[in-house]
Amino acid sequence: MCPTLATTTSFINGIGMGLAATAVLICSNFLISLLRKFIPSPVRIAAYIIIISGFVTAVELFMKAYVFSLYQSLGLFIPLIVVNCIIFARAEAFASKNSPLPSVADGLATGLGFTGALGIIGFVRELIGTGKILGHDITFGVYEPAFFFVLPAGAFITLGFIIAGVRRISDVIAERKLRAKEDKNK
Amino acid sequence: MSERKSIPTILYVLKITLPLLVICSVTAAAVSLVYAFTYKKAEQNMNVLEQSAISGIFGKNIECTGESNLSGGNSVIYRISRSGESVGYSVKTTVAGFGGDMEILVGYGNDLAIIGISVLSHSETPGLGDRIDGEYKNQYIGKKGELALGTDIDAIVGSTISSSALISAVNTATAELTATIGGTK
Repeated sequence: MCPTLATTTSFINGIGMGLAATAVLICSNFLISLLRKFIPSPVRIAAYIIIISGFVTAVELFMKAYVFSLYQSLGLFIPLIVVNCIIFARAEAFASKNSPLPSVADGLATGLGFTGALGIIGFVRELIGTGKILGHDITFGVYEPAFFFVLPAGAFITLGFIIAGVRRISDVIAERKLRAKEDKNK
Repeated sequence: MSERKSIPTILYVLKITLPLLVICSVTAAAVSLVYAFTYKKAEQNMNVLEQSAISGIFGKNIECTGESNLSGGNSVIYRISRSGESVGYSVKTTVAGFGGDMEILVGYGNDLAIIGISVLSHSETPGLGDRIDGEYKNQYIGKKGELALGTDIDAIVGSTISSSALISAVNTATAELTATIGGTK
């Protein structure tokens, strides 16, 4: 959660972090999937860490040299992604057990979902915390920003509400499905 | 699990550690290779950044002559001149910030008043501490001598450490420049 909550201080930061994480997810899933027969099971977590952080470091070095302006805007996110558990979670749950192409698809899908979630959190925090969207003031100075939302405590609260909202929605959907089944059986 | 009984312990240990050793070695070699190929270009990029930071503060058509730092510190000091006339100094200093090192360049006039600051690199929190690299630093323009947070300069709300790091970097730069060129002219 840590890097997630630290980088969603605004909509654009959340999206940026999400997209960078997606790129890493696709590549790490691909690499881990290729090596899945070679990595011994008892030391697989250590192996994942080495491979992923080595890969991300190489990408960072490459960016510093050849796409310096991109590095200046995104560079902060890169080390944060390495410690992001979602990378390991997908490597362990999917990439280590499936062939490369499905693993890449899994990385892409998980990454885009992650980006969407970060975007929503970043959007909410920016709106409530600073009264702006993408840096533009949309309340014409009427709204007094609750800066608290841009700080870590606000991040946890936002996340809590979003999780509550998601659970409510999935409960409602499950209920509807159950009722539809019962109606069919009558 | 019955595998364990038929293979001696040493062989089992080797079976799990050798692939790991291979992975470590290959990864280390790969990263070192990438570094060897890219570090020169990365350095160049930083130099270009420094030059454009200096031009951003002082304007065009300037010459930079290196000054040896006499204060014993590590700042890189240049005397900036235009057509032979000194217009000021630039001091590049590195200090520890919140997330890592922060490298800044401070431009001073001949009277050692701050003309401008450029943040060359930092690792501060996006959205909070990274605001030091924006309009925030314009507060410093025109100020002289050692500055204090709260009295001379306002901190960023929610980023005390980043704000302190910036002011400490500026004070270090000012102190080392003063020691090098010997006080206000």
